Amino acid sequence: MSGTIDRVAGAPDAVDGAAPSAPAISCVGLRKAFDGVPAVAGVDVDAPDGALTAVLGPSGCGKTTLLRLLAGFERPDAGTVRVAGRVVADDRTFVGPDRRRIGMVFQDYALFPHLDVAANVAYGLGRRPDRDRVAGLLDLVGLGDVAARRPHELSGGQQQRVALARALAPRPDVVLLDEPFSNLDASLRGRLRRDMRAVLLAAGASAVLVTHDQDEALSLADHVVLMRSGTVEQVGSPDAIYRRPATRWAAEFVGTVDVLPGVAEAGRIETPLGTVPDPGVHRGAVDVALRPEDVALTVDDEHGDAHPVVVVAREYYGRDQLVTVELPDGRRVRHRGPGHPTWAPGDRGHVRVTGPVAVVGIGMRSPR
Amino acid sequence: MTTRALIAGRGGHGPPRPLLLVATLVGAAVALPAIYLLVVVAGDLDGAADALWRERTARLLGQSALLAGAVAASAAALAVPLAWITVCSDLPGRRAWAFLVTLPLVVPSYVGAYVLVATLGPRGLVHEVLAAPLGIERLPSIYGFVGAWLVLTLVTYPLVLIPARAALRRADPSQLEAARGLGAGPWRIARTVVLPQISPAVAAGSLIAALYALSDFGAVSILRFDSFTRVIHQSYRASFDRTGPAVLAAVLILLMVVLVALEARVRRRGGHHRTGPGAGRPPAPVPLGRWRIPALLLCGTLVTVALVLPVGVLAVWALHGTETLPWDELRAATGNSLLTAGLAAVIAVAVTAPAAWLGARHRRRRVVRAVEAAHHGGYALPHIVVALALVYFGVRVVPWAYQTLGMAIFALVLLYVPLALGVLRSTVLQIPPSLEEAARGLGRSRMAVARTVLLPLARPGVLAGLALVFLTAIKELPAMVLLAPTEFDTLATVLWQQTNLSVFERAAVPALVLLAISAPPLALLMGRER
Repeated sequence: MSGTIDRVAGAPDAVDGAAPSAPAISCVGLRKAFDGVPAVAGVDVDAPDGALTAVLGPSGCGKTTLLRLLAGFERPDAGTVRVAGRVVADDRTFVGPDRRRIGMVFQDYALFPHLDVAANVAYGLGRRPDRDRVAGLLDLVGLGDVAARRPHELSGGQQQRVALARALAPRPDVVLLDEPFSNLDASLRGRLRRDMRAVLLAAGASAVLVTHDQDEALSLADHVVLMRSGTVEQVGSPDAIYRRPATRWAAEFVGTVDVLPGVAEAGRIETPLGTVPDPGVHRGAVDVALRPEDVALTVDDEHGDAHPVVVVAREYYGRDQLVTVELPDGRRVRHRGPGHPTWAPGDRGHVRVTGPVAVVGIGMRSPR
Repeated sequence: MTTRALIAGRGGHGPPRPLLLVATLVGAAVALPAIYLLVVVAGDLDGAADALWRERTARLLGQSALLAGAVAASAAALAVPLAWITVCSDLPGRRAWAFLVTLPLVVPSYVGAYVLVATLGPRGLVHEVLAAPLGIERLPSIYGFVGAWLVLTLVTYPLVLIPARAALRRADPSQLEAARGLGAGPWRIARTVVLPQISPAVAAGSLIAALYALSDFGAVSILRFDSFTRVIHQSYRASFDRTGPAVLAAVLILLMVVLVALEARVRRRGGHHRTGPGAGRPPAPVPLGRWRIPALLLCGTLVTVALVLPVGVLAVWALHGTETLPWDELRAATGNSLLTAGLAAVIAVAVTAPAAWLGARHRRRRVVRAVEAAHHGGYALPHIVVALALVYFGVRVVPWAYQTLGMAIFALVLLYVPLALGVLRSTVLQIPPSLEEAARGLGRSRMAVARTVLLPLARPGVLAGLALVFLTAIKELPAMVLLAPTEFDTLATVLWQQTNLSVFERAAVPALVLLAISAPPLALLMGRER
């Protein structure tokens, strides 16, 4: 296998596709059904070159199928997949997983149990693997001292790093990661995420990560693709996904949110919690999504613009607390704030919107 | 359920064509004997109708059903108490007993029949040593139903014992405790809790014992009991009429298919008896009290009758005739047995590998399931039937292959493909599919993945499959009787011929060699499974 021959295999259309701006992965109209049940139902998505893209969604939303379509383990029913500008699957073409120049890190890592760590990493390098390359990769993932061990002698975190090094070894155009942290202790995940991010950056690899964990997607990725029932719900930076959810479902899946009815007029939205700036240009009835951390809860009405509430529930997390309050009309909203002061059900206080809201549903669209 | 689990087993883009082709060809070959029998029957429908509506057919059906039913019932009657004693009671040395009482499974039925005839038959040990000196001319006959029933029970009860023990060990002990807490006495607990827990396993095991009895050729032919297999062989030998034996064979297949379907159904229904996630906490052994002596007697008698006595009788007869034995013939027969079984094992495992892989990886494909069913169909075909069909096929369609070693090996391969398939598929199932995908994703072709990932990981399973087929095929009697080239004798055929001639001293050594070759490794394989 010659890692230096980049992006030449394939049809002539690979040439114009291989322009520097070509996304690492691009799919158009991708569909795949199993026994008539659609798993991926028309997905258009690009993974930018050199970036980490997270595909985020609940179990069963089709994200793993999408990943397997990208890797070539499934053949799409319809649609086109391009890797670094080269068509690897469409109506006429199907490039097998062994010729896609894609590295994959499996959920169970899929390390070869009969090979030691170095041989696992060298597996994709052909019959005469470059030993320096293997040693370099093992150093990169911090496992130089366990090269001669078998996978079962390693901890879960070490196995994951071997899987990453193995996937990176043949210098793939993209690395795909299928829930790589789901088999690890919660306490380990934070560090391993940072490590993985650093390794991918050092290797200069583009990556697509599939996860159901919103913290993972938001903290790790440059670019988030939110999936629901086989389709793409929203695409954007982590910040955009969290701050400007496109739909009520997106707002509720990523983080906690309360949705209030409002009426938009001239750049302002009238809500039960007062008037807030319109993030877009709307007119008429809209649904407004409010993050609990953007709702301030105080004992007194300090600024004269707060609304009286009664505390009905409190969930305490130590570093913060989530307090549910009820407005005089019976409507409930939540506030997230520091773990003190201690609120208790029955306490009286005042709430005020302090941050931006998102519009997640539109009753009547502005004529413009 | 995770997304991953949902995906697994759905198969990717179609199974590879060459593999599917090989698997289909092998499946077709396994189905060939049954299909060819139908062709023979269809070619002479009038003759077939005559042969079918004869009084003999009804009598045969009755006799065979009686034998199969009696064997199943007595095997279960032996196995259930044995299973309980060796799993739940405080019998001294119950592990060792469990192993010993399972061992008769490795004794071929015709060796059991030989031992019976060589002990109690005319010119048998008892006659020679006791009766003749006392002037008793004739002993009560052991030929016919009673002999066949006895021998087949003693070699098949382990088929019920093994699943019954497994069911008892899987059973949830907290159900027993709950019943006891609700005031049930030991008999009521046995009837209302223990029996329901193990009855699916016992029923499935009994059906397998019945299948064994129905398809057995060696014991019934030596003990001259007219069940289907013996009469099929006799009428084939007696005349040039193909239709008669073919019709009988078809009826037998039908009977087998019904039992196989029944067994699959019983097995599917079983195993739902554990309600909670209760950990596998072993229950405290039940004290046997005054039942200890009878329990020990039961185990001891069985081991004596089914193991010690046969080996003893064989040894006596073997020593009896050492001077006059044709050693060259024995050496040749041993070589032939090793050769045929070895070739059959290698070929059966090799040609089954594609179907095993497809069955494990592309389960949901309809074509794969059909191919698998064809491979498994071999279980419903008695060996004598497969052999007979291949004789007809050989004579009429491929005369150049008839009575060649190749044809005999072909028959052995067909007969043992289902066995190889079972072992190989469970081996592939233990290898996560993601390993193959990872290897493919790292740029290796399917062939390279098979060589560098699948084969090294499947090696123990492949070796077990080879061993199992070899050790079972070396005992094969009916296929060798009908299909081996003239003058080509194996240990099994020598044993069978000499026993039928009541030349017990010449049958004893082949039997001992056969047991020595096949019993210890089979026992080891059995021991490892449990």
